This record gives sequence, structure tokens and C-alpha cells, in this order.
Amino acid sequence: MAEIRVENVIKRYPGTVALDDVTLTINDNEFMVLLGPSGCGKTTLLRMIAGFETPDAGVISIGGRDMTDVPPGKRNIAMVFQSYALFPHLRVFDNIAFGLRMHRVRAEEVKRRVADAAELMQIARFLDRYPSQLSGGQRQRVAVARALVMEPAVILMDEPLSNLDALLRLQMRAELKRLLQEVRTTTVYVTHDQVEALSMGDRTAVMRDGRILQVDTPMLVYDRPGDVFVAQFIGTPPMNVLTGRMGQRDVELEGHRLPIAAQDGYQPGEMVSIGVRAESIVVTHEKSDDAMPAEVGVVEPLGSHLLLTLTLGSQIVKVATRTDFQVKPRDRVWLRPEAGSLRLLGRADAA
Amino acid sequence: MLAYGCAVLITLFMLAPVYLIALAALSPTSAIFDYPHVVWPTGLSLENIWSFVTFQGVLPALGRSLVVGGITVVLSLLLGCPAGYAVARYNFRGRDLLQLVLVNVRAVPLIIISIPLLVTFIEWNLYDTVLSVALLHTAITLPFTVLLSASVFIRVPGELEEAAMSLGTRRFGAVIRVVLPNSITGLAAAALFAFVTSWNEVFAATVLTQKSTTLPAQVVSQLSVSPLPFRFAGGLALTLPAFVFIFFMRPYLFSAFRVGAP
Repeated sequence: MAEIRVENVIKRYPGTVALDDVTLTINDNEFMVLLGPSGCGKTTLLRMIAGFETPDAGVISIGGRDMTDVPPGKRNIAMVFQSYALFPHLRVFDNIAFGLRMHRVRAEEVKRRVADAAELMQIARFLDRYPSQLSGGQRQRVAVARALVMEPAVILMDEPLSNLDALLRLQMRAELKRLLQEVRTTTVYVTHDQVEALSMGDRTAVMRDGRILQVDTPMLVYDRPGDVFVAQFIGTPPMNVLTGRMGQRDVELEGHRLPIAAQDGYQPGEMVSIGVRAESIVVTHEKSDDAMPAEVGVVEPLGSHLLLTLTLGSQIVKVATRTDFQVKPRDRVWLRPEAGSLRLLGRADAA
Repeated sequence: MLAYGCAVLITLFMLAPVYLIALAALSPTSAIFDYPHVVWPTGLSLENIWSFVTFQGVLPALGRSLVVGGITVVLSLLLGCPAGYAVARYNFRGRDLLQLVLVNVRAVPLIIISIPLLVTFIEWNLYDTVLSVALLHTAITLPFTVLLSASVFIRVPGELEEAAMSLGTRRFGAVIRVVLPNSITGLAAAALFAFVTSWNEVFAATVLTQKSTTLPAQVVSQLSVSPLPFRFAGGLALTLPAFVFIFFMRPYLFSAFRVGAP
């Protein structure tokens, strides 16, 4: 059992609040991704779970035990660092064996477990080498092996893929996901890459300015962002955020009434931010009653789809459509959001 | 190519006096007075060295010099490394001031430290002992050891320490098992510097001792009244240990592994 509970944690640094009353529960065996722009506090939170930082206020418990003041080595965690932090003076074998030896595991067992971990990470050939003799991808594997070999209750990863080149990152992303599903430990994974967050995590916590804005499954974070920031931070392209006027059961957007599910807390007549994904807007050449006229600005063929940037009244909209849609700049087209695809993201002035 | 040429020139420039001293010291005594003088070896003879080594008090002084150098190295590393680590890792109040003061300690003339120390050492019954010289040499080398070890420790990424700590060590264990092994090169240089500084230091050793003086102090004090062969042999004896020390430290100075991923 290694459920992680972060309760009302506050951390201040001179001039900034790194964590502003953060509460988060990470379930046993869950893969939790902490996502946010740099400086949002995600790494601070991770380092606090690891024990490298102490909260100014609040409690961190792992597996039901209060760990707030327990040193890192006694938390039953293992961490994979962004720089990998392999020990340059030790061979790969001794790097992986380091933690086991610190925990006074018997020599034969060290040998067996290191061999197993090396096998799992496909680095058995490199056990006699020094880290400086390995490529970036190989170092990354050693770093993961060094963490896995401890069979920790919690694995913490701080942007582990950010130092790899694009192709390798793609491979390692899938491999890490498969691996962590196999070993079944609680994982906390910090990244600023929203694609990683979407593709790897069971749940994603989106952070900004030391606060957690939303914790949901990747699909929910993508489909039902809680506010304008989350909507625009996640997805390529980011969600369209348009300004409209709230009606009784609909919203008025550039003079068109669009049905939207009623939500508490909004008064008719209020200006609101409406989110809609580029792929949730149907674009046609033919006029229809429920469609809005828009003018094409930019046409970007992206291989799998066509990305259009359009002007809808006074607002800019991005729409993804099929590549066989014949269109050129300055064309007039008609836009129709799919039913149920509009999201209320808050009052317009709140953005 | 230019850099290479400069390196050769500088090396020649530095080695020339050493070569001439070694030549004179290892040649037959008569060769020193030959005219015209030759600058290449004509014959090997240990008679100069022998007369120097067997000269009364030289061997004990050599031993004392080694002991003083050894104590200086140990003390200045033992005291300097923790201070250097603190400067490198912790952002404590007054850190910048400390670094500034450390640099400026070197600007204080030795004589200003030596006289009060002399009085103190007499009170403590340390006057004319090997320990008193070693303590002063430690004081001389310590600022450099602190600054050098700080610059060495700062190059060992903090994440290495954290990795070790996450794997079960305390901070002290992380320093011993991860930081020190990756700092050997720089610490060897600091040790080297401390030893050579101590070995070459004449003034304080002369002031603080009467009978139990170090070799350089003894040689220097007898220089003006010594015959020429004795001076050359003494000169060689003074340079040699530094060379031996550097020779053994060399593997660490050009250590194979590099700290930190490129």
C-alpha cells in the first residue's frame, strides 16, 4: 500500500509562494502526472514527496505514514532525475547496486536484483561501463533501473524524458508506460509536456502558480478543462476560447445562439468564456441555419488533418478538418460546433 | 600550434634553472668550478649530494619538513573541505563576505601573523616545535584550500547527492560516497598546493623555530656561509620533494572520468 496524501501543503521561498495550499491524493498504484509550465510548483511538490524539501505547513503521508519529516532515504521512494544523476565514478553495475548496498542487502541478492533490473531495461551489456561511456538514452535506462531495483513503494520522475531527442523520447515514453504498468507501483511524474501528460498518466494534475487547478483523467482534462488556463495549456492546437453572452439555455456568440448545458453560478446576460476544441467544429462551404459565417485566414496542412485559422466576427477560431476540404485564404465558410462540444470556462473577465 | 609552442617555451623557461641546479648538484664537485662552463652532463657524481646529506642536521631537518608538510596537508584538508562544502552548497548569511575575507587573508604580510603567533606559541609551549610551524602553514594554506575545495564541490551536481540520499544515505554519507570520489582531482590539487607551500615556506619556519627548523629554513639560513656545491645540492633537495609529490598526484590531476553528464 502506498497511497500518497498531500494535505494543505504550503511552501514559500523568498519573494514567491512555490506551493499555495496544495491538497492532492494519489492512489495506490496510480500513475499521476504533475503538469504545468515552469515555475508552477510541480517540481517543488515532487521534491517534497521525495523529502528534499520540507513544507512550511501541511502534511505529506505515504502509505498511511506521516512522512513530512522523514529523510528521503527512509521513505521507500526512488527518484529518476532530469539529469539522470548517475554517479560518474561508479560503473553501471555499482550505480544500480548503490541503493541496495546502502540498505545492506546481501551480495548475492544485489547481484541477482541488479541483473534482473538490467535485463528489464535492456542494459545488461553495459554493466561494466562508466556512465560517461553511455549515450543519453542508455543513461536514462540506467537511471530507471537504479530506481526500479529498489522495488520502491513510490517512483518519482522529474521530467525524465526531457533530455532525449524527439524520436527517442517517443520510444521511451511508450516503454516507460509499459514498464510502470508491469511493476505496478505508485508513480508521480513531473512534466511540462502536455502530450506526455495525456499519453502516460492515469490522472493528470494541472498546476499553475503553486496551485492545482484540476485533477482528472487525461481525457477529461482534455475534454472538460476546468478553466481557461487548462483549456489553453492542453492540446495541440490549444482549445479555442471564445467570449459570448450567457442566455437562459444557450449562449450568444457573435450574434448566434448556441445551445449549451445550463450551469449553476452563471446569470443570463453575463459575458462568459466558451471553450471548444478545433476538431469539434464542423466546417462547410454550404450555408445552414445553425452555422456561423467565418473568413479563412491561414490554411495549414498537417498531414493527418488540415488546420484552419478563421475569423469569426471579431474573434479568432482554429478548426481542424479533413485534408480533402478545398479551401484557400479569404474564403467564406460556415462553422457549426458539434452538439455538446461547448464548454463553459468561467466568466470572461476572469481570464 | 601556437598554444603548443607557447607551452614548450614556458616549460623550458621553468625547467632551465631546475636543470642547471640538478646538473651542478649531480656533477663532480670540480665541474662546478670548470672554465669554460659546460651546460650538459660531463660526469655523474653523488659527492655533492653526499656531502649535503651527511652535513650535520640536514637529514633531521628533511624529516621535519616532511612531517610539517604532512600535518599541513591533513589539517588544511580536514578543516578546509567542510568549510568549502558549506560555501559551495549552503547560501548562509555572510557567505560572500567570508569568501572576500578568505581571499584577502593572503594579502596580509606573514610577519604580521608570525610575531603574535610567536608570542602565543611561547605561552603554549609550542615554540620551536614541528607542530607550531605546521599550524602556521595550515593558517597560510587554509584560505586557498577553502576556496579551491568550494570550487571543486560546486562542480559536483547537487542532484548526485540527492540521488544518493534518495537511495538511502544521509547527507554525510552522500558526501563521503559520491561527492568526495568525484572531487579527488581538485582536492589532490589543493593537497599538492598545501604541501608545496609548506615545503617552500622559509620565513615563518625561521621565526618560529630555533633548533627544530625545516629544511628550507635551515638551508637558507646557512646559504651565505656555505660552499657552492652545498648550495646546489641543497637547491636540488629543496625542489625534489615537490616534483615527487606532483608525480604521484599526477594521475588524479588528469583523472579519466569527468563529473556531470555533457
